[in-house]
Amino acid sequence: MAANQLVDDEEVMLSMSPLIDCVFLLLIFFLVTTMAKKDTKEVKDLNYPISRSSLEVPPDDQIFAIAIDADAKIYVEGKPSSIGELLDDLKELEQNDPERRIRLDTDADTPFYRLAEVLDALSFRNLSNVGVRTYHEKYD
Amino acid sequence: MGPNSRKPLLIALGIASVLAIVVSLVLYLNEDLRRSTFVMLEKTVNEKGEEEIRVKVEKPKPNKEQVEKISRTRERQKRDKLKEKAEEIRKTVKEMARVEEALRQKLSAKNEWSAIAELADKLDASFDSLTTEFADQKTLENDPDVLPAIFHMRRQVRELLKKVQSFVEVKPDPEEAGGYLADVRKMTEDEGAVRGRIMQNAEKWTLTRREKIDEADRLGQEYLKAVQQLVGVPPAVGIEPDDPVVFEEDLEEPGSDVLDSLPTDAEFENMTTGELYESIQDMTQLMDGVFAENRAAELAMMENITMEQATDRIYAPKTDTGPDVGKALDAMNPANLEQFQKYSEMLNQVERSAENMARTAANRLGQVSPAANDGNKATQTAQQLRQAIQQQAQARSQMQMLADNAGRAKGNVQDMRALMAQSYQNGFSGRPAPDTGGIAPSLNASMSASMSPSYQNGFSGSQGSEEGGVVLSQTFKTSMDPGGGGRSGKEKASAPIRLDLNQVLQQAIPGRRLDQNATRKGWVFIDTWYIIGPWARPLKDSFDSKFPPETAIDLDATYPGKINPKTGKSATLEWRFVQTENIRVNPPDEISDAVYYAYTEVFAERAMEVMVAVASDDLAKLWINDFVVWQDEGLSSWRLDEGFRRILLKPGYNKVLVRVENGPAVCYFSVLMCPLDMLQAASK
Repeated sequence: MAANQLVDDEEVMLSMSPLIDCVFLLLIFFLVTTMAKKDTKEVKDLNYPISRSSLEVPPDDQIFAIAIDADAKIYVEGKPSSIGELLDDLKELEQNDPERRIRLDTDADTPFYRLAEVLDALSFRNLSNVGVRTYHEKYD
Repeated sequence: MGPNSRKPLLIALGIASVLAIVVSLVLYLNEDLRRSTFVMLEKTVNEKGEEEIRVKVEKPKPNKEQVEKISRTRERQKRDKLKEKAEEIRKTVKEMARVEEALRQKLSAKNEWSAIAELADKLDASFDSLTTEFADQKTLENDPDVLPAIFHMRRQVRELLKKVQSFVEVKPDPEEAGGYLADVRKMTEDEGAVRGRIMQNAEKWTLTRREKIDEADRLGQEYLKAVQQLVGVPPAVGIEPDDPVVFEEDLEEPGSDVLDSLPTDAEFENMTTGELYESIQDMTQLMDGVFAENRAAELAMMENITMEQATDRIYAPKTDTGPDVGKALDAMNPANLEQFQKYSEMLNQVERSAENMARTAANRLGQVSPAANDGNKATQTAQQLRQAIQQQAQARSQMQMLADNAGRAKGNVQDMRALMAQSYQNGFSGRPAPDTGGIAPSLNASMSASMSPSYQNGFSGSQGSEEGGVVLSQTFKTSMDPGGGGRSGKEKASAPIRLDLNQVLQQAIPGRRLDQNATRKGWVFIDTWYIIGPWARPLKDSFDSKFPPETAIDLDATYPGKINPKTGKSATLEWRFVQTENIRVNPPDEISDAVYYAYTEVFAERAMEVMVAVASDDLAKLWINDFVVWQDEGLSSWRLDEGFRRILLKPGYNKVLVRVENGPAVCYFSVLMCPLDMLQAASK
């Protein structure tokens, strides 16, 4: 009997439940960490100008996105806006958070006068943390 | 090896299959992780008629319950936002209506004291010229005590004037009126004593001087008589029974129809989202109406015309109230995904328009009489408001006089600092101006410095023509009140400025920020403008007709412009961004007989005294922070030194609006600014 008991003890038994626990933990871990963020401030149908000397910057939720499309229409934070509204927004921005990063998305065909106008408004409001978004083969 | 030996293998197989299932599950569920996907291809025909093969994307569809749940949550979020905006707009409308009420009150405020106030004004003017007349060395030689006595008199008259102006606002009680009568009597007695003293040695004084003192005496007597008459009658009889104005503090809650129609908090609470949006639209329209009336009342007050005439002359701006989707929004009850997307899009749209409306309302409030922009609105009583408006109106009309360049020699200088300081203080007392951020505290200090008595004196002196006398009276005054500071006394009052044209043209730098620590200093020409035009130029009294930008600046607005004689149609005007490296700005779309407006903002690091030079071809009018600073009529060609104005910029952003009119041929304008201390440093 005693010998028999010993034999029984030696039998390898792999309990499945902790394994499955582990696997699901892993699964959840990956699901959570790989959530791809969508850029909600992006404007559709913008054909970014091509550049050869751009830097990749980490995505930033706090960024203030201004976009100008090929028809010189202005978008603020991804929503259609106008120059008067943009100027008001910049006024607010200067008071509340002058160091906030600003991203300027333009189309390759954006009229230059509009770009100059927006850049001038930015510099007049003393907002200097401005970046321009471009297309670069290496990163995009 | 028994059958036991297979067990591990089976287990391994089990683990492997579990892993495989897990990975495929992950890939199936998370689109971002997989490189390719199983898709159905579908053939479609695009707009150009070409065949295209497209991926048919099928996503799991939420069921009806889920959709309803999401849309309810979404609606609740947007509703809260809308409510917030609605409350903002309501507050703005209320504030505007309050100002309007006060303005109207002011317009119709003619009680029996206003006649007295006019007399007091005359008396004050007479003493002003008397003081100027007597303030020189000769007086001190003839009778050293006369001059201080005259200054004392003048101060008394000032006090009387101020008091009577406050009586026009609020009727005094009999006791106060009696006290006032005593004051007036004392003043006339003092004045009689001074006159007697002068007349004793009449041969020492010139004829004009004697005449002046006689006139002051006569006016003083007249004044006394008028006050006596008024105070003598029982006060209640003063007001006609059918007098429309009630001089009581019933203005705390302006009970006009406007405010009655505004919804209450409870009503907001009970509204559906669509109704809330409609209510916002209604309030915005109401706000437009109140704003237009506000501007009209201001204009009526400035130009002494009736409210109806003023309403005709101003442009009533219409705020874009967004799409009328309130009803549709309430009717919608999304059951599937497509409907929900539409619904959500509509909610977004509604939210955006509500935001825009609230913003426009806030901007408009900033444009109505700055007196209303006091931070502590609750503590400002209707009476204070009316007083502020009164002072504002006085300052404005005085400024208008100074601004007019007609008949003034080229290179003339007018000093508007004191008036502007007074107006700013009126409108900005104790509040951090919204435009200025952290710079605001310096405002009050510098403003009150510039409000010192001698400064005021300097203002009245600088428009006089007898420079010698004026300068002396200023220095004298300074030595009399030691606290006053001799700021304006040091400056030569109104010596015309000669600009070395070439030098300025070469050295003026473009910009619109006046920073203290700028590397390059000197004249700055404003190089960035938003310009709109052309409108048809009125044939005569051109400045009387007002175009939309004079009522409200809205850079997104479009207006019908001058009618093209060839097509018979008017062009649609919009603001255009103009940046130039030339001192002279040439409006785009330049045609003859046209009116253009140019708008920009100038940044001043602190409250800054600035010399402004405006030059134009042909007519021009300049507003700074809604105050007329320059007005030049007549078809003149562009000259850099047409005239100069000393003005005061508040810290932060200052609005600059120019109206240029073109007669025949070319059209140019230029606005140059230079901080006064730099000018003085340069001239030393």
